[in-house]
Amino acid sequence: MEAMSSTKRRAFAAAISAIGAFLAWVSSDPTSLLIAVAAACICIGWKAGLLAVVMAGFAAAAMEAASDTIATDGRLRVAVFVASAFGLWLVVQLFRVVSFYEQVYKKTQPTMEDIPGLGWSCYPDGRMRFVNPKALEFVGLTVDEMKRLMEAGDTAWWQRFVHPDDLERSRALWKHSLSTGEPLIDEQRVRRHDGTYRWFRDSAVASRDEHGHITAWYGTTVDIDDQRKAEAALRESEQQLRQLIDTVPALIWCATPDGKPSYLNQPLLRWTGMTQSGETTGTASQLAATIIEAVHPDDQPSFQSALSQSFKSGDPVMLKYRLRRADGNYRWIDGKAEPLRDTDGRILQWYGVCLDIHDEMQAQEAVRLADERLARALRAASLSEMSVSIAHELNQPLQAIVANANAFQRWLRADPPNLERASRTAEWIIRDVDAAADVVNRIRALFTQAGQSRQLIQLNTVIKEVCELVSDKLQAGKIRLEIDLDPSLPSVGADRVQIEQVVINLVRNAIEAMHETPVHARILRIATRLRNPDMLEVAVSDRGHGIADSDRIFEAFFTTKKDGIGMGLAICRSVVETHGGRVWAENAAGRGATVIFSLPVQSPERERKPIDVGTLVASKTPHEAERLTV
Amino acid sequence: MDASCSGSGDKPIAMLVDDDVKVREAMSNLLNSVGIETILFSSAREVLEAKLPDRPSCFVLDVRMPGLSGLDLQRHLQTNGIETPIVFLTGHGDIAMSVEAMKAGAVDFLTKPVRDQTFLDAVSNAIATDIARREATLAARKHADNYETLTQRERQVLRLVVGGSLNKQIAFELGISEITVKLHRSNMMKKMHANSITQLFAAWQSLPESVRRGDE
Repeated sequence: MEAMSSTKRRAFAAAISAIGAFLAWVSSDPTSLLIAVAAACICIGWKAGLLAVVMAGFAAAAMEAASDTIATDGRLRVAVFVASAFGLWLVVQLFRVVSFYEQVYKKTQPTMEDIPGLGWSCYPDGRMRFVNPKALEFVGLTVDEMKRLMEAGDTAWWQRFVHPDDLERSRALWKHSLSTGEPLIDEQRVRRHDGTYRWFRDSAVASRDEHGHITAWYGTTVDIDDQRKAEAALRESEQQLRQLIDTVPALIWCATPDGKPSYLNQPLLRWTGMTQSGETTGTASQLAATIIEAVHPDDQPSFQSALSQSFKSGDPVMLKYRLRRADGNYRWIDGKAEPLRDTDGRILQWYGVCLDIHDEMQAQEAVRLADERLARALRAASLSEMSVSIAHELNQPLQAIVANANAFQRWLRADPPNLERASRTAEWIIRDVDAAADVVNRIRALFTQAGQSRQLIQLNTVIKEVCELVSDKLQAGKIRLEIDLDPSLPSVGADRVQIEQVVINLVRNAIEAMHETPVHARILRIATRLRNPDMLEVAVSDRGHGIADSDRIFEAFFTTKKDGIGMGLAICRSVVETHGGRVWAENAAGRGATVIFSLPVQSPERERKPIDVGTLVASKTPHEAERLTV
Repeated sequence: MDASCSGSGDKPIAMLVDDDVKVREAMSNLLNSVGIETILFSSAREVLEAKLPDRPSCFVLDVRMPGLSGLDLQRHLQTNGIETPIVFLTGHGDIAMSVEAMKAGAVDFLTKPVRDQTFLDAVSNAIATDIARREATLAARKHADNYETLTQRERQVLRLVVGGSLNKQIAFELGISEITVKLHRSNMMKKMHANSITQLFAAWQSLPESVRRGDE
């Protein structure tokens, strides 16, 4: 479709010339030299020379052919030379405007029409020369109309089809390209046949001849309207997203996989006041230092260790800490961060959010205080509620018994005694007494139910859940939690709720025992271990005052708390012993106490008996025990 | 509903409402043993659907019942214009509840288990209240009937007499002679079966308010 590249053509021309020269020398005939020169001219595209050579060749041939008759006629020779020179000039003049390459490329036109886009070409001065059918179809012109438009000059084209807003800029660009020969890259709106404008990207390059002269411009025009719209939509959505991130009342940040902050949203900058001091311009490590500096000194160690731990392991960050606000006040922050990973699981970015939970924390603290009061009240309430419900259940038959007994008496005392009614009444009394006994049985069954649901449970899991449950209390009590769980702990068959109650009870006791311990020494330690293959142990240690009488604390109604009822540890012991285990307390050598309970790994099936209220009160010497009546 | 003793006439009857059949029957048994007839209902709904006897009676309601409670039933009875006295029985009566019930016209509020005499006294008391209420209603009806027999002039005289006017004033008011007033007054007293001005006044008081206001 196109001629060879110029270097190839030049080499080719040189080869032909050499062959021609060689032949001319061998045959001593100048005609072959002429042919060689002509071939060289074709190859390098020197049209004037080519024509001159061709004409000269014809003239020489004519002379040669006629040499028999007119070889000696010198005048005819001169005339032939003059005529061929004149013809040569004429031909050159005639074809000058039509470039040789144009003739060559004309053959490629049909291919250009097949280009799946809008294609065009221009003369070096910028006049329209060719527009492919697709382009014509787009703007809605016939070939004839286009021709007329082309004759009218390029201004008409521009004004008719280019969007007025783009006209100035596009023309300026085009003129610039025309004058400098630089490729044209332009985006403009072009009017379609139905009058709507669509965005197009014009790209055109100049075609040059061997001498670097521009012979024509060839351009393609690509419809980028949908792309433009998509880009605009993308820009808009990105802006919206950014607006969203900068508007939501949450402090959002991003960090590199190694934990260097890479982005802080506007609220975060405003909140911390970093915008005012212009610290955002610093490097990532400076920024990190600024952030850490803003964390409350008490929380800094845990903050840093938790973050570096997460950045190392890739576990999500969950952290509560105090951060200095722009006004200099430290406020509680609930920090969470999750890593974004690629398909291979490599961390690409950390995304984090900080929520100002100071008010909630304060409210929670208030609620916690209220909660404790309530819990105390509830303990009483649930007892009285229970008694109310028991009273009601018992009242009905009792009422019936009393009324019937009285009626019985009256039927007998009547004159004459109504024995029939009396005996019926007596039957009713018996029936009512049975009903009362039923109620008592049902209440007993109520207590019995609690021990019926044994399943295989993992003590470590139970302990972790309890720690979560009491995390508020730990935080409020400023207590550090140390968990030392034996991962090889086998599961035990136990009533999950009851064991959970035991652990909660022990943990709560430990928390309460450390009220008067200095803050830095408040450590709650929970450890599990397998004592022997059949028995595992859970130890809950505190740093409180220790236990004065470690034997009596498990007795019912024995309490060291001023508002306790002394049932907690008694229930614990009852639960543990029902499960075939044991519970005891030890005083630590230094400070504090440890309550340990053991559970058999394979909880014996026969031990499946309910918590007997009686065992709660059973003291060390069973015969002294008074049984608690419901 | 099951009536354990069905008599008729003006013998008093107690209507027991309790969802617990044991209590219902026992209380009924106790009342029967002192000669009070009973009708038993197992729910408030049953009471509202039943045709209640036109005899001196009282309700014994359990407060805590499934569905409509005793207090709900009290409200329903009131809106239906049934003024039968109510004795409440409850397993756990709190003060607020009893105050509400008493305010709404309950005769007594007893806590289970109740002593037999306390219960029987409360029921008797309620029945006595009902008897008095029924008598008052009856008397009012009789007076209203008597009033219907009066002439227009006698009614005018009656109105003025109970208004405290003297014969002379009545005569002046109605523009008739004092003799005529005395005549009307004597006829009116006879027709109203009143021997004294006090009796007349009591009869007047028992008349429906529309009559007393004079819109006839």
